[in-house]
Amino acid sequence: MELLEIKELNHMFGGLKAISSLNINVKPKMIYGVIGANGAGKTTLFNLITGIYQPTAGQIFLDGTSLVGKQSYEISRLGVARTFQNLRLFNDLTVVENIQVGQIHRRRLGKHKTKDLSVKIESLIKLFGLDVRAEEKAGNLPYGMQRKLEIARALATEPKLLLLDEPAAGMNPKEVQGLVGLIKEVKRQYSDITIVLIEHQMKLVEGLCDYATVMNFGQVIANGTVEEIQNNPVVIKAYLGEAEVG
Amino acid sequence: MSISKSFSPVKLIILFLSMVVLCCLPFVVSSFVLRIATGIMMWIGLALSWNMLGGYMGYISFGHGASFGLGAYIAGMLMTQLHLPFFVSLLIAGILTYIFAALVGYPTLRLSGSYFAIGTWAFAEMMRQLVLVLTITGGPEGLRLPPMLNDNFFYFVMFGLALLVFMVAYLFFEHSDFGLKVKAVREEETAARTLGLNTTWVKNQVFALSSMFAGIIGGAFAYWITFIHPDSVLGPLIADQMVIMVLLGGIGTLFGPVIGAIVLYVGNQYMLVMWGQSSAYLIILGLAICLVILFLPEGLMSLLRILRGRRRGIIKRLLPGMKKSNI
Repeated sequence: MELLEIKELNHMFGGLKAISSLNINVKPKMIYGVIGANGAGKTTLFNLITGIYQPTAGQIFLDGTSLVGKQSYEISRLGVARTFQNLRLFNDLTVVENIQVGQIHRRRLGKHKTKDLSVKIESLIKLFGLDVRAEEKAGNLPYGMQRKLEIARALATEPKLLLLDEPAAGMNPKEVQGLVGLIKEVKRQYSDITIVLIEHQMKLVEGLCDYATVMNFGQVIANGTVEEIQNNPVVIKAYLGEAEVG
Repeated sequence: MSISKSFSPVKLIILFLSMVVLCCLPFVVSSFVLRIATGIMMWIGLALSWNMLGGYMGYISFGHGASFGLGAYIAGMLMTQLHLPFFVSLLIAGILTYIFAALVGYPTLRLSGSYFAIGTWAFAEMMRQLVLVLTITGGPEGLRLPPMLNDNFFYFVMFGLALLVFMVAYLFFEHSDFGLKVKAVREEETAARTLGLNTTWVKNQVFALSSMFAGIIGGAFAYWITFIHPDSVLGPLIADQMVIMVLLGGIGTLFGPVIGAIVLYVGNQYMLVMWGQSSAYLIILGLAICLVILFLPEGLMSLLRILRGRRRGIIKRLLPGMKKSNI
């Protein structure tokens, strides 16, 4: 059984075909990479999964439940959480409050006691190295920490599927290394979670992903393990252009 | 987040004493001063109700005066035409304004920023024109309510309403999950939605709730003033004053609207007494707003913070040895 199943997905922006006949299957507990040049439709794909856009045609299933036609908040409650390429934090709220917002709908389900939830916040904050600045406003954090906070906030919703939209954007190589370790640690602690991440930097994809899809102009041009993809001539052509002989 | 954390014993005592003083006020001061105090209470309630929408949620409304006027007219009509008692009319006015605002909020809350401001302003203007042409409201003749000449009664009504709105702001907007949701909508609506918040519902609730309080206060105002007219309760100046009071005091804070309402209303009345019905005070008001926005963008509340910080700075300079201790 696939956790995320995307069938023949199409999305048009006016006359522009942003996503065309896209098929993706993500197995549970995987770390799945989506790679592609700017404008390939990666973020549009995330926006379609999370209900920010409604697809022109096609189907999206999470654990067999259709996500098409559902509102963002309903999809979130089904277990999909995401981060954004351009940070969307609650800048005027503190680090703790940001994470609390992620927990609110869990709290309403009444499954958890308030005490358990604050323990969860504490462990999340520690895991992401935010404990020293827990009471500071999110907008005052340095950029790298803001990126981490966004992941922590998404995790607070206790998702089955975590979508990371370019988590390493704007980070220096050392920070990227730290992020790779962090995502591995998240995977270790939340063993049931499935992660799909969009990325440009091969280093991160190599270090993390079990499987990847390469997109170009809204279409899938290759599927496979990271190694297979790196040696795929179609991918190399799309990324580097055709070799000129002579 | 607990109440004990935000209210120290000293603060509780101050709060209790000020309540006692405010309750004794009608028996001490002249009826002129009491009427001004009643006005202050009314505007504190209105500014706080506007702050729920504009401050905590970040939706700047210029149509809040419509809710005030609507409440005034509903209560007035219930009292004159159906001869219902005052408090019953007030309750019904509140409920109807709530329902009405929820309906109006549905289309207008799809707008945001300045478009929302323009949309709500246009809506309020439409209400005023409507009340002017309808016969059931008395049209341009206005509406005369049965007179009730008891200043103490109205003082306590307005005081109670202001206290009620304050408590709602404190409990629901400052210290609850609901308040966190509202602030999340203000900060990043899309992110809030992807974290499982039904932002449409949250926005509608806040809009309806803040309108309801404006409506109830409007109903009380109608009975107090005994004569209402579209221009007096549905004019744009009502909403404008709410906006200015909140900006002056400190938007999105609990005490900001209170301070703003006191300063602006007292200032208004003072100038009215000094210069009569001239419009000169509008110029001074405009100037004051410009100064606040330029130098104290977070309102008079930030002035308090600055003063407190400076006092701390002075202590630091006087006692350099204490620098690293708990100051």
